[in-house]
Amino acid sequence: MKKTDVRYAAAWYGGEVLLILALLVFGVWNAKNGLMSGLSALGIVAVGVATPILMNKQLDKKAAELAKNFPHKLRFTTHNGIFYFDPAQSRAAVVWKLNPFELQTIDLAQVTGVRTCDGRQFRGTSRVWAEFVLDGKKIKVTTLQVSRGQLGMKDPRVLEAISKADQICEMIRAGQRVR
Amino acid sequence: MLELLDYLLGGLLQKELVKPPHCKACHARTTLTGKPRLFLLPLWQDQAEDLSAEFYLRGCRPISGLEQIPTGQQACRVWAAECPRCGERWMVAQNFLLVRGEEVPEGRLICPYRELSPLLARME
Repeated sequence: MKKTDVRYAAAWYGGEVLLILALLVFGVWNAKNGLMSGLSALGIVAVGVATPILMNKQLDKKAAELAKNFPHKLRFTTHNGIFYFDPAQSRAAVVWKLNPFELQTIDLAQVTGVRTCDGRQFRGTSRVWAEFVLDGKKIKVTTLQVSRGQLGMKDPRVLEAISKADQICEMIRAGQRVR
Repeated sequence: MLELLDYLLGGLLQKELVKPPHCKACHARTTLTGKPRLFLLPLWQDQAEDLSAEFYLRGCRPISGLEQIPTGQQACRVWAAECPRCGERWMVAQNFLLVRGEEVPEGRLICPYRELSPLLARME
């Protein structure tokens, strides 16, 4: 299971960093000009916001092309990829966000250790995921990722993420019962 | 801290699930009448849909209890509501996602009684 295409990830994240650095240098170079500094700051924010949006659009487009011949009952967009479940055939497939060039199939009969993790730390969480073990490797399907701080365990976003993770686990178990 | 805030403000921030809506005609608070009916919806997780009476009439399937809700599928409670001031009757459909015993409110529809009343007659 190849989650990351290093060159693809480097191109996106490296490109983002280089662009931000260039804008920063431009802003510092024109520090005396308020308009230029402001535009530079705006540009940095825009790059930071636009990069994940563009990456997700790219993922959606590529996944749709790759999965058009994979019959599935459920399509799941998670934080790190798009999953397709076909429990009737006891299989699933995934297009990873950092490797959107392959539709990687998963034989659900080979999967073990299926569980939902709510990432609880004290009274909140910053990450929720479903995990399973395939070929000795733990695969995490992130349904919620908070970049700063935590959300309370009763927050609707946390509960919805737990529901998604629970549904992924149930799909996997349903696929395993077919065999 | 979160629990203290919830204790102090919880009453003010009462969830929409149990709060009767305002009458669309005179804006008074309506009262919910009768027992709510439970239905399964053709919506999953936080999927949103343009909610209309036609959508509910077309897609709702009656169920008898929360235990019949599959993981990740939205359900709704449907009530009749009456305005104590002007007498207008309304139907309230409150969608929710059941997550390990917790109900997460999703969409809500308030419409004239006659548009959704056929739902109340639907048997399982």
